[in-house]
Amino acid sequence: MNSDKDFLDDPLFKGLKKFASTSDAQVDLPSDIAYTLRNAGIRSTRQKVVRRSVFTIITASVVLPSLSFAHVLPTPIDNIVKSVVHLVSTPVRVISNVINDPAPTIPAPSGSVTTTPEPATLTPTSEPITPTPTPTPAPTKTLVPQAPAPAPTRTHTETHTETPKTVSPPKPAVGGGEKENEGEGEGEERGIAPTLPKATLPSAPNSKPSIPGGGRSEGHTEGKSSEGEGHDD
Amino acid sequence: MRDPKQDGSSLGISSGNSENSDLANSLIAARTGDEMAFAVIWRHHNPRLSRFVQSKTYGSDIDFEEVISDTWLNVAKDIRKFKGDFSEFTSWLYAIARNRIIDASRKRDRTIRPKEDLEEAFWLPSSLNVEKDFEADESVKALIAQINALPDAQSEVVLMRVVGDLSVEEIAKIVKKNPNAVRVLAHRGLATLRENVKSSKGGSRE
Repeated sequence: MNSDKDFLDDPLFKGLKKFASTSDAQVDLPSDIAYTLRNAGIRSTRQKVVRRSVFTIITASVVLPSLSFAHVLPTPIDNIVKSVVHLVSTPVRVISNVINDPAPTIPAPSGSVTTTPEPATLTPTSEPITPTPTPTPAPTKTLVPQAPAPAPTRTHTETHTETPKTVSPPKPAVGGGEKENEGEGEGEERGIAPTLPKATLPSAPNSKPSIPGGGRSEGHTEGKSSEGEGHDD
Repeated sequence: MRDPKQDGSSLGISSGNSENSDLANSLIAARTGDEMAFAVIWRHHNPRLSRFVQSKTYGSDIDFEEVISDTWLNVAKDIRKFKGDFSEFTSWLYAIARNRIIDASRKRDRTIRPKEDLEEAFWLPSSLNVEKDFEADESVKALIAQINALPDAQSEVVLMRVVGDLSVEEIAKIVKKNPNAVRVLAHRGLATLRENVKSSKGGSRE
C-alpha cells in the first residue's frame, strides 16, 4: 500500500494529476447519450417481451399436449388442445404419408396390370416345356429291352431326336463281346448306316445266336452283326 | 424541471461516503433507465475519462471526442445489463473506453496508408488534430508523450493509475491481470519514465 501511495505522490506526476483533476465545462448530459439511454430502455423492454412470449409458447407447446395425453386437462381445454394438435399434425401426417407410402401406392395401379399377365403367360409356357423331357427318357429305356420286332419302327422316330444319347450307351455295352466290338468299330466308321439296315429288320430274328453280345447291343448291332459275322467268316 | 440531484450541493460529492452512496443509488436508478441518475454518473466520471482518453490518444490522429462519445453511448445502451457495484462500474467504463481506443487505432491502421504523398494530399498532420482541442501545459504534454512511449501495458497502467485515479484492483479487472502484476507494471513504468526524463533533461542541457 505504501508503495502505491509513493507511486501516486511521485513529484513526476504532479502536473499530470493537476491536469487530470480539471473539471469539464460541459455539465449537461449530451442529447445523443440521453436518446440512446431512452431507446435502450424501449429496446430492452421489447426484447424482454419477445423472449418471454417465445419461451411461453415453447413451454405451452410441450406441456399442453403431454397433459392432454395424460387426460389431466379439463374437457374443454382438452378438446381445444386436441384440435390444435390435430390441426398442427395433419399436414405433417400428410407429408409423412407421402414420404412413407410411395412404394405401395405408385406401383399398385401399374403393377397389377403387368404382373397378372406375366405369370399367366409364363405358367402355360413352362408347363409344356417340362413334360417334354419326361417322355424322352422313357422311350430309351423301354425300347432297349423290348423285342426287336416292334422296336425298330419306334426307334426310327425317336432315335432321330436322341441320337447323341442313344449312341453313347452302346460303347460300354459293346464290351460284352469282342467280335461285336470290332464290328461296332467298323459300324461307327460307316456312320449312321446302322439305322438304314433296320429297315431290313425282318431278318433280325434270325440273328438270335449272336445274343452273347448283350441285350443292349442288340438294337445297334443288328445291322452291324451281319457285318461282324461277315468278318468272322 | 431539474432533478434536485443535478445540483452540486445535493449530489453529496463533497464528503466521501455520502458521495459513494449517492453514486451507488444513482447507478441503481440508471440501470432502470433513469436519465437523471445516469447524468449524475456521467458528470462524475466524464472529466477523468476524457483526460484518460486524451492522454492515451495523444500523439496519434485518433479522434478522442469520438472515442469518449462512443464509450458513453455503449454504456447507455448496455447499462441495463450491467450487474455490479460502483467500483465494478468504473472498471467496466474504463474497459469500454480502452476497447474503443483499440478499435479506433485498428480502424486508423486500416484506413491510412503510410505513403507520404497520400498523407500530404488528403490528411492533415496528426499533431494539428490533437493540438486543436487538447489544452494542457507543455510540460504535461511532454510527460504524456513520454508515458505513451513506454511499453503499452506500462503506459496503460500508469495513465489509469494517475489520470483515471483508479485503484490497483480496478485496473487489474480492466487489463485482466493479477493486482501484483499491475503494481509491478506501474513501478517499472515509473522507473523507466524517470530515466527517460532524466536523460531528456541531460540531453537538452547539453
